Amino acid sequence: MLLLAVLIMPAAFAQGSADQRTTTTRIADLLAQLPARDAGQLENNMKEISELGEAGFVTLINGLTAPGKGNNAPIEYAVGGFSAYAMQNGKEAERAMSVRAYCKALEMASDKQNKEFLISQLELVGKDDAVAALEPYLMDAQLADPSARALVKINSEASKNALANALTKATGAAQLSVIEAVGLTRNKQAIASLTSLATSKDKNLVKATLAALARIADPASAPVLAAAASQAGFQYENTNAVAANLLYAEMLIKDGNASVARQVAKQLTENAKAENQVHTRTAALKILADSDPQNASNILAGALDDDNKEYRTAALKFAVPYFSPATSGIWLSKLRKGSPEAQAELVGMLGRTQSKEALPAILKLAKNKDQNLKFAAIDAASAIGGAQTIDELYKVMKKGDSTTIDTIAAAIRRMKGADIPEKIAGYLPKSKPEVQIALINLLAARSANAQIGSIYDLLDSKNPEVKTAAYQALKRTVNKNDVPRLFALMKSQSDAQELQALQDATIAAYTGNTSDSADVDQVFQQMSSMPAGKQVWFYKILGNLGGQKALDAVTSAYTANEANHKSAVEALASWRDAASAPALLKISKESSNPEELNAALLGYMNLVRKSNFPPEQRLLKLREAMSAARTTEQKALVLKDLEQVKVINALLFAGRYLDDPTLQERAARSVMGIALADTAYHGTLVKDLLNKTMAALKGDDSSYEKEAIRKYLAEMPAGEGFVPLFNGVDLTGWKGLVGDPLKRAKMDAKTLASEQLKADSAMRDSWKVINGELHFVGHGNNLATVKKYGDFEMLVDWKIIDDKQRKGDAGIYLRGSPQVQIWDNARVEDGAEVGSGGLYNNKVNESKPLKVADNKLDEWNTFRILMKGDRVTVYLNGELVTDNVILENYWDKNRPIFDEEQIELQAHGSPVAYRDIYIREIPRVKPYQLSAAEKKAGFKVLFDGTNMHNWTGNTTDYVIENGNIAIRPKPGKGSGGNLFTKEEFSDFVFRFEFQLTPGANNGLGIRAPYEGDAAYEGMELQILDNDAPIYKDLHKYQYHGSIYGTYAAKRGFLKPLGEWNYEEVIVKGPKIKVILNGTVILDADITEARKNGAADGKPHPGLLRNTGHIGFLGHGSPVQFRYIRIKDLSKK
Amino acid sequence: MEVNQENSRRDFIKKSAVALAAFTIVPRYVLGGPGYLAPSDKLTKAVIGVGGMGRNHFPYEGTQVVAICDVDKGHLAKAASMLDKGVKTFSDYRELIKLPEVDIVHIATPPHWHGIMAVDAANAGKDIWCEKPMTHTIGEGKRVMEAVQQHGRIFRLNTWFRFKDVFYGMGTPVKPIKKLVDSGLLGWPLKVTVSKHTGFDWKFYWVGKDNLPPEPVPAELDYDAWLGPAPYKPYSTHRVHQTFRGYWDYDGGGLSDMGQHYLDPVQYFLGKDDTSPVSVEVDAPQQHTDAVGIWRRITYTYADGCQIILDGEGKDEQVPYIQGPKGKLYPGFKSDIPDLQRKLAAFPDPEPQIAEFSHSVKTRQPFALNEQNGYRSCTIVNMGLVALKLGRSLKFDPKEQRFIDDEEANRLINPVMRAPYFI
Repeated sequence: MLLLAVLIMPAAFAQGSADQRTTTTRIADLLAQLPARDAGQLENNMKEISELGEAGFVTLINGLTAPGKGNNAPIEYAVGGFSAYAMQNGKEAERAMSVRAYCKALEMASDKQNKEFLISQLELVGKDDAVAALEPYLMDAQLADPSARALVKINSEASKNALANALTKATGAAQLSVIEAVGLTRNKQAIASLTSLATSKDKNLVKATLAALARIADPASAPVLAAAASQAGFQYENTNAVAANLLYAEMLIKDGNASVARQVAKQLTENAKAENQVHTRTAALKILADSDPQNASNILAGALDDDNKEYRTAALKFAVPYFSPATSGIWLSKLRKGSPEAQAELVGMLGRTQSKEALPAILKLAKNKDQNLKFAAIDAASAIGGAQTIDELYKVMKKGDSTTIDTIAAAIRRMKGADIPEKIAGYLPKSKPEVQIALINLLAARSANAQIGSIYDLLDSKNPEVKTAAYQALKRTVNKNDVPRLFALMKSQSDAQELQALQDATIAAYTGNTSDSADVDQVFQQMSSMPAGKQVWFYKILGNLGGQKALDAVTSAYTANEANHKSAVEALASWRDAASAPALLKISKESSNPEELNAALLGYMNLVRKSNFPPEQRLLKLREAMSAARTTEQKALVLKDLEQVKVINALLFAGRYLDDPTLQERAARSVMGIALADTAYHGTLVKDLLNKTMAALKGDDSSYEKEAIRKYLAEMPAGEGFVPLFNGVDLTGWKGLVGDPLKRAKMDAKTLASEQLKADSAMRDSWKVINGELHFVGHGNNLATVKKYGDFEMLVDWKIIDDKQRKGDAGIYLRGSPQVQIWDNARVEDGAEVGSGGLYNNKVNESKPLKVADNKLDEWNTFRILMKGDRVTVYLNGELVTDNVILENYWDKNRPIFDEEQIELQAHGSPVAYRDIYIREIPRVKPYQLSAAEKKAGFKVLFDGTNMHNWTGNTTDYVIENGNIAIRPKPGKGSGGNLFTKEEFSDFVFRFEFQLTPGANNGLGIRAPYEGDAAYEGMELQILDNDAPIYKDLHKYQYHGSIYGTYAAKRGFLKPLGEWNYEEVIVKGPKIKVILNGTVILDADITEARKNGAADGKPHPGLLRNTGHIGFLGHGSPVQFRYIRIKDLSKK
Repeated sequence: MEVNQENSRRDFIKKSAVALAAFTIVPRYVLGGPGYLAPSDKLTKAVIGVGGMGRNHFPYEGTQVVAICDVDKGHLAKAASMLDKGVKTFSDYRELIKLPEVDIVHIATPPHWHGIMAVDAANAGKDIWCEKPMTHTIGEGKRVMEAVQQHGRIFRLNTWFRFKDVFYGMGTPVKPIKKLVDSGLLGWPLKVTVSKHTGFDWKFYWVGKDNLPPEPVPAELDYDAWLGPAPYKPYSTHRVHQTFRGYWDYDGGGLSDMGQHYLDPVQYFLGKDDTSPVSVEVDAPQQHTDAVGIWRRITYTYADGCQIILDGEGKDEQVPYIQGPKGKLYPGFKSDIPDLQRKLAAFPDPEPQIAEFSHSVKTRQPFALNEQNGYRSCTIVNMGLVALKLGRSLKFDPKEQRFIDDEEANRLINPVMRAPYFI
């Protein structure tokens, strides 16, 4: 709310008459808000400029400095934005104002580049009102260009005249600009001046002049243009005279001077006869046709007699718009003559125009001896007649050679019609083998299951190619009903190719249906009835159906016999789901056959890609793939998939390959792809990797990519980010464990030092660095960080090593205290089936994880642990398992968790490995402290911003955020519940601050029991945004500060929403006083109500209670509290 | 950048070295007439703009580079060193296109040059291979289309998804998508969303910088010629070469550079090659007058209700690539229509397209992506740029190819070029 209010304010200022700001301030305020985030803000900003008025706007624009001398960008945003704003319909006053302002500023500006900028704005907004200001610049070498451009767009009588006047006055580049502009405005008054320039020696000048004359298109200019073309030898050259003549002719046609246009075209036709001038002849032909629409078809048909293919094909394209049934006769007569090449071109055109009249003649040509003509006719016939031509085309196909068969088959594939498969099946039996193959393929392409019988018929064709085609077509045409038949065929066939086809077909037949165990059983049954050598063909079918039974069968087949390997790997790689991934990974790691390894690895990666793993889990899978990868190609593929894993762990892992010359470019793309997808990554580690990435990027776009990375680095949040806790080489940064935090605190420095020496020496026996991993060998004590940590985010990979003892157990101690649990979840006798990641030693707060997210023994897992204040959040393998739960102090349950302490890896008698341990320290909230006066007065703190140790109840929805207790009720999940002091209070002074959200409702319970509705069983002092519209009908005793239902408080002393309120509650015997922001809003004596009942007429037994808990009573709204302290008056 | 293309390019470099000797290298002009080119004959080409992009295009199949042009002497020398000794070098493209031995002019300059060069090449009787975006403005696009057709030239725009290769994230070529759209199985009208979840992650780092300080022009660069038709602005390294895409005068950021790549296939499968959207809506921060900025969303709507949405934010991960009243299509040809492949098989294949440029040049039949449909798909891009620049939604008349009721937007359709350049 606060934010919104601040953003709306400037607009409110602008509209109100009370805006007392000086113009300078208003301009500065406005420029600070540019560029606008969206259309709404743009509109508001531009309204402000409107309010500034012409003088103010000129002042704003005058802020422009010479390029490089200051920052013009905000002013350019303001001006560009206003030009666009003012040119909307209905804003003529704003537009006129903008022109006046730009013209004034233009006159005042001293820098040419800024002048050019303002002129470019006049190009967008100017009308007659801008002409006078622009005109003088037509003589300026640099500014003539933008001015002329603007005058063209203004396109009024005044602007045309200004340009024409400048024609002979401007020189050099300025003159060229003016000539071009004069042409574009088609000002006939300029013809005389232009004509005199057309014979200049300056070719650029002549070129511009000819083009201008052409565009103005006065019939009298014909000789000038003709002479220029002749001078140019009717070739393309620097004056572009030929093109000018063509433009001239086009313009003449548009103006209704067709006969002059025809003369121009004729001159070009007669003079551009060489082969390298055919494009000019072609263009002239188009002029001739377009200038005589009645006769166009005849003119263009005449071109078909020309020897030049370019000319003929262009003429046919020109003819399309003129084609109609009425003119079709002209073309049909041409179809009977001419070279086969020309005929083919014409047939193509008739096909494109869908000429029904031409269909009979074209069908005849479909039998022509000339191949090209024949093919053109086939395509045209099918385009015109569609499925109606199928019988005729089949006749040609029946006798045709292979290319004819292919051409007709392709044409049939493009035909619409439900009865086409039936027709094809009808042709099949009587056709020659080559045609049969084409027809089978057509049935396959249409998935013609209804015609599958005719394919079955050809499975035993004597022609081997037909047979193959029929087998291959099965997979496209079968459905589930065909399965028994396919099995029967598998039984009778022994040829590998055919078995392969039947395998594919069986898979296709099952695909698209929901598979059930009956299908698997059916396959097993068939499989068992087959000889051993044929069973391999069933693996892939099983894989397609999936399920544990199928998986067991295929993996044991792999183990049983090397002859099964290829088929088994293929089946595993194409498995229905990710269930086969472990088997594939094992094969990739163990196989000594590179081809098999490759197939298994790619299959594994494909399954990982298709699965729905959270990014962290996907990364673990890909790291397994990386450890199995042998070749550079394989490793590069892993890195490529890694790019899609958008988490810091993946970024850091990919970053390791930036030093490998064969993989660094691929690694760079992955690092960049991950980093740029999220602006939150920061710190030295990330910075270093991105710098390496920039150095490794190559290719066309790398300069943009580097630019993007530089921008990313520049905008990176401050802070050290993640740092490694374990260097992969030795135990630097770690130490042995001495006692516990309480014991250590009691030791003197000397004792501690000598204990530490002993512990460090023991550590080296228990903790080893092996292959870059940190191993606990199974006996010994915890490993502790040298450094102490307060609030932090920690990443750690861990793995329980399976020693077959079923005792797998470990954990991460946070702030010296147990622990985020790690254990073998097979240990159900110990309750380990809940999985790892819980706060195992919690007694009051949740100790179990939300779900089981563990990977198997001997597989890596990854934790992301977030510790803030006394709360811990844990993600295991990307799944949230502990959600902002209080970690209790194991060593002394009467105090909250330590503010800071070491992190420890727990030793629990079973071998465990760790790797990739990173930590990011989070700045801690400074604990709230009492003022000296309060301290002296005997107050104590109930909530200091770091922990909820003094509180109980719903510590899940009441969380600590930035040192505040924030209630974040989950939508639809009820009231958010209550948070009570553990202690009971009867008489007290309670001071706190609170912050409301719109319509917020909470309450301060006093003398309340844990159970029951505290508003009745205790007392509730309302905490309420009672000015919200939804509360307009409240009873007075429901306003903020009231004893709910009993005594009304005064309304109107809450601070505006979003601000913090300070409240003091004094409770003494029957007297209850509430002071809100310094005003007493309630001063009640409940003696009366205790006797006669509450104002709302409901029973309030709580009025009679003398003591109880103090608590926040949730009503489903987000509210925050802070600085909570109390003075217990009963203890005096 | 374009992964598939790059692979094929690399493959080709290897192959071409072997195959080179087998070709006869004769300009088409020399043969001329009805005899024309034997299928094995190579076409000759000249490349204008031999910076990073231009140099990538030398080894295309069936062509031989005989001339190159650049306004940066450094580029020119580097490119020449990659080619045969006989290659001719130019700093002025107008001289290059006069060469009689050149069949094809390949335009690989920044976009503000495409229109002029394409029109001049057509005037000179050359066939044209032009990099995307086809032109920098709607008006130039129209003029290129007219000039190419008038002179009977063959034109190809160099993007290719409408006829080959798999879309980046879609995992499928366009042909089955076209077939699906034509089949009507998804219903009508369709809404197509191009976002990072459906095929393309919009490149928002292709933005310009405001407040560029003027710098001295390097000796090897003819900056005035580099600017060409664009308004004069003081030189800055960031303005030219690989970072020009961030400035309105020469291009229009990621939308301009990559937009046509992704919009063209959509235009094709929606069957909109002969028309344009009737409106464009933008959601973006205010744009600077010189430097191109980012945007959040651009929505194009056709007269029949079909929509194309360019989603720059990609917040919706589940968004379908194509959504119709009867079904949705997701990347990898996944759909909510059960057994889609089989249902689709009953429908006809789309019309064939000529996907090989040299085939088009030799047969004089239009290339799959040509001056006509290329102009239309480039207009989608350029409509978006105008709306983005002005920060407001616009209505468009596809027939007149003008914005409706918006004088300022119309002034941006065909800006006048800096003399002595014009088309």
